[in-house]
Amino acid sequence: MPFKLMNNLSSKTGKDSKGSSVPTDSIGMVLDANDREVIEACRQGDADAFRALFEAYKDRVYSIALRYSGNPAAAMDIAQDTFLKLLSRIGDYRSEASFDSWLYRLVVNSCIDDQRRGRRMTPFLDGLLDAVCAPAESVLHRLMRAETAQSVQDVVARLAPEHRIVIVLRYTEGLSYDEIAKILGCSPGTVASRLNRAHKILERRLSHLRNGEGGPHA
Amino acid sequence: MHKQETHPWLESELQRGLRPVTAPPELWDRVKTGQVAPPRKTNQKLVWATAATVVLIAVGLSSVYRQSFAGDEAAALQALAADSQRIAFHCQNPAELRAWVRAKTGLDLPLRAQSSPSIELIGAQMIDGSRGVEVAYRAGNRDAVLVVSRADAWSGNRPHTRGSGNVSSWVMDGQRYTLASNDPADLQLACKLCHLD
Repeated sequence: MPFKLMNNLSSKTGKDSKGSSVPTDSIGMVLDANDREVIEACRQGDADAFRALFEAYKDRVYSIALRYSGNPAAAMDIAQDTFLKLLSRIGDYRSEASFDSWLYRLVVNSCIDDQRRGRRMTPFLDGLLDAVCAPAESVLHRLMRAETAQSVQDVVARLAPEHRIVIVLRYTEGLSYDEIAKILGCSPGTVASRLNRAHKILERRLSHLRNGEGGPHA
Repeated sequence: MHKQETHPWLESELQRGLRPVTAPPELWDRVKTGQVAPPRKTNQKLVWATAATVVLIAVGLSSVYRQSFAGDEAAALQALAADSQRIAFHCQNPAELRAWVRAKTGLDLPLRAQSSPSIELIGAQMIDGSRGVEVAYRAGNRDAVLVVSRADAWSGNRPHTRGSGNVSSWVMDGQRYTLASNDPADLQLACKLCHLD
């Protein structure tokens, strides 16, 4: 089966509602005829079409799952759940809507479901402990010994879910405020508010990177 | 529009630290393993074929069930018309007759220990080897016959089924009962062979 979904997956630089330059994907793009054919075939139960959709979106789905959960095993569970949901709910997708937005919603819901299953409550607890009683020195000392990227991931993983998801969609997928708002079903203002709050938390917790104490990127 | 005071170093670190990754190759196996059947159009031919098969099986089982009752009903009616002299085991004592039947056929007749005054036992006769037994007796002043045989394994307890006029059949506790009397109105009286007044 011809597969042209990759046409819509090529990253490019765009401007978000804030006006800053971030890498964005084609979330708002209308599917072309071939893409619609693949989705329609998947809706009809075509296994090859489903495989094509999987190949086109697996990295994006897994990336969001991994960056949100901070755990490769959990990311696999979330990604699997997302694609099984895609398969079972593809009939609900309306072709006039953005397929990317629809799929992102599935991923976000799977992330939230995974969180609700209670398997990984530690980010919240860690954050609470960090804020209340953990000495800044010990956190700083631990982060200094870690890779910078891992440090960022660890700190992001400890954010509250509503802050974490906007950070992941913003920086892993490079989505604009409007696109994130559409996926989460809230206003762009709410997205901005959550991002602002998350930035302040991250700025505080990652301040050692700014001061050149944590790694090569400081 | 949405004013953000984000330090460039933080955005840079976040983009670097949260960069997209490649999904592990085993993800497809995971999805495949947990894959549910994709929605497909219902195969109408298969549905109709399945329905027809179910109906045929039901009709077949029903036919077998009716035939097995028919055999006992015929035996009961024949016994009712025959001379009581042919009875192999003449006995008026319910306990003795029950023991004889159990010894000969393995069937357990739930006869009352003390017969009702309206019931007069005559005796019992095996039918078709040891397939079943007929119990001959008089209910009131009329002849009555109770045929008891083993029910098929798939036969559950079934309520009384009125047969042809003066015959009634039912299944209970793995045994098939067929009661026949000369007069349909006497069937209730004939029940007192096993039941209280």
